[in-house]
Amino acid sequence: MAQVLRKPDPDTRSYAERIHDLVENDYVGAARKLVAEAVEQGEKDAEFLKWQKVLAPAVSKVSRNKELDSDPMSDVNWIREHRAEFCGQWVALLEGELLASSQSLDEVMSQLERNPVGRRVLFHYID
Amino acid sequence: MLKLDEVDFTCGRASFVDSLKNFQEPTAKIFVKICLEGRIDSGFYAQLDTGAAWSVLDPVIAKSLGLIGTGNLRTQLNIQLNTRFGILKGNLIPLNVTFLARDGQHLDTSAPFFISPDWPEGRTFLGYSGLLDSIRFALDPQRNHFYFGPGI
Repeated sequence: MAQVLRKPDPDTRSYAERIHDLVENDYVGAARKLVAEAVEQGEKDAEFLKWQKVLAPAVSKVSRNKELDSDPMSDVNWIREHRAEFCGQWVALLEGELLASSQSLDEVMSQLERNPVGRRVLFHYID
Repeated sequence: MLKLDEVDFTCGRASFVDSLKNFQEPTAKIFVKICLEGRIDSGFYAQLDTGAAWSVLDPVIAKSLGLIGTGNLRTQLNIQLNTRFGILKGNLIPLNVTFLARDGQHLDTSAPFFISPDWPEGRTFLGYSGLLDSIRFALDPQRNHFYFGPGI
């Protein structure tokens, strides 16, 4: 016997709740679509406005900073050679030279603040 | 830089690292150097993960940027995500990311990062949604080159 088709109940949750649910389940595209729909509907809920900000399409542009990065291999070789010695520590490296190390990243950064090098430093945790 | 139909496809090129563990890992990964929040003098490696919905930031780096703990006034949303380390509670926070170039020009973009105090120290992932899907990139695995440019 044929069954009566039942219309699904409309989702009565707020846009913010529905977006939250989609995000937690990795449905990012669907979450963004729902944000767009909510904007069209004039949604102004504070929680929704946070989602709108967090899920806003990224704008990527060429950086104005002109100082190029150095060859990474000297730092990488240092990490490979010293990993046993510095396991469990953060290190700050500059062109294959160790500038500072500690189990605490904050401590490494403090050491560099006391002795600034004025160049781009690589921070790396050796695990 | 790379061109497509005689138009720039990318603006910068970096060397990526496929292992940071003296080749102890079973498969090669792709680690690229980035910096966050305009701190151009402080770079660190992050792993490209095109299979991940979200980018994840090392909680120790997040703390050093003032993103964990009291006094953080940024837009953030509490969520829990099912990760390789189980279901973790954390926040989704939009951050400015710079891909660092050895040749050409750096690339600035922004993306939401998942930050959880329970995520293991030393691991940052660059996921697809909102980050890698907003730029153009290409890999040259023979030369370990990572090319990147602004999305259109």
